[in-house]
Amino acid sequence: MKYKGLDIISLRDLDRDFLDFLLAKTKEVKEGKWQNSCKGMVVASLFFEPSTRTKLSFDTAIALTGASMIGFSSAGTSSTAKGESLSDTIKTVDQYADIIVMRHSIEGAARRAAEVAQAPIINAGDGANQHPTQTFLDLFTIHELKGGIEKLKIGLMGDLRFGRMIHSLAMALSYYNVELYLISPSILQLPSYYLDYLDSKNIKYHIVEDFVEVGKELDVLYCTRIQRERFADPVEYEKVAGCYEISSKNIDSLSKDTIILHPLPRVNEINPEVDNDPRAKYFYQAKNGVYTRAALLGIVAGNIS
Amino acid sequence: MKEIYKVYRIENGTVIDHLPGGSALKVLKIIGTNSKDFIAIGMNLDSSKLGKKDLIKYENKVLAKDETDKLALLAPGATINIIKDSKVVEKRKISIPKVLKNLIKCKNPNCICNKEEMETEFYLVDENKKQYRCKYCEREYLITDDFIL
Repeated sequence: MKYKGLDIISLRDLDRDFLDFLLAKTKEVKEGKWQNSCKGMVVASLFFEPSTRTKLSFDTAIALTGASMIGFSSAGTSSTAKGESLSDTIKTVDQYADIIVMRHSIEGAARRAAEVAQAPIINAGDGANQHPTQTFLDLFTIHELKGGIEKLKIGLMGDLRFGRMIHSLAMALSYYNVELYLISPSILQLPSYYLDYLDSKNIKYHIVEDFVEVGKELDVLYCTRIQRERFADPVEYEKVAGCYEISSKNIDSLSKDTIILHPLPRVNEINPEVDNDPRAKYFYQAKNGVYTRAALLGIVAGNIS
Repeated sequence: MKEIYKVYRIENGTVIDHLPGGSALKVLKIIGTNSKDFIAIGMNLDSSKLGKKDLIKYENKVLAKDETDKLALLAPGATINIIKDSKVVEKRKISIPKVLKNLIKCKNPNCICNKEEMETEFYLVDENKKQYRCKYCEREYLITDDFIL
């Protein structure tokens, strides 16, 4: 009951106790406990911005909890198209729903919604800002496959500068005693204020440009997409892109126990020939999103304790 | 003392002195004119420290600490004297506020506070750098004059 009614907006608002609790309860949900934790409740799923993966994952999670679902899957089918403010849409939906899940292209939309709604808000992504449930499922997958998070050596690879998932994950991992390998081209390195943040949490990190150099060290390699449009010169992109594609040619520079994760969708960064390698866990990771979100719904509903 | 009398002398209230020359109107906008009593403004007075300075006097109104702390962004070197029976009873220092409510705007055009009719809110991250984080989009900024609403 401790977390009943809690808004899930940003990693900044949460602490280690909450993350540990969520990880433990997600495990129980995955084992079949807490079925129908939201039976009789109504969950609103408001996707002002289209999304395939996150929406379907939440839809499945809502079904697992036994709740009824209302909502829309794009702003075009909501009254936003008629010029209604976000606050008014949320205040209205708040009259119908017990929990509101929302994705919006505008940063801070979920925080604003939480100010005007009585029902707990779960942020399913707000522009380039936060996507906390992705981070929860990433943490759960690491915890589950590695038997814990403490003392792991974790590589974060790809666009560390602009990738919101990387920022949230780095922030969440800083609650645990991990060692980070920040693997990216120099122009896409983690912003200095995140490095300052890691320093303030006494998290040891290494800045690396090619994962092959450190592959044997890693317990986890978390990949994200490098976007071509981030490079002013396409030649520069071609030069560095190869270093960030995992394929049969370089996968053995990882140790036999390194797990490979990716928030998906992928483009070129993991060659499909790697999919059948036992270390490739990204689709398994996506499945864990359903359990994590089902656990989260039950927790904020006050029915999983 | 001659300089003081250039701007009406008050017996009770608040004197904000040593504002940079030309900044008084901006300061008034920030602190507000929420007083039924006399408010005197002096602009471009000679100052040995600043060359030119502005000052503002609020008669019969003791500004609260959180009101005068708003000056930290615009005029951190200002002095604030609280006057009672024509005597200075408090020389107040300006502290940089931990929270700025509806005082500055967010520079992120995709932040909700620039899309809806609502107040802005920022939290202090680094006092020395005057770095604040937007409550909504969570971007951090080094605050300068042009952030002020």
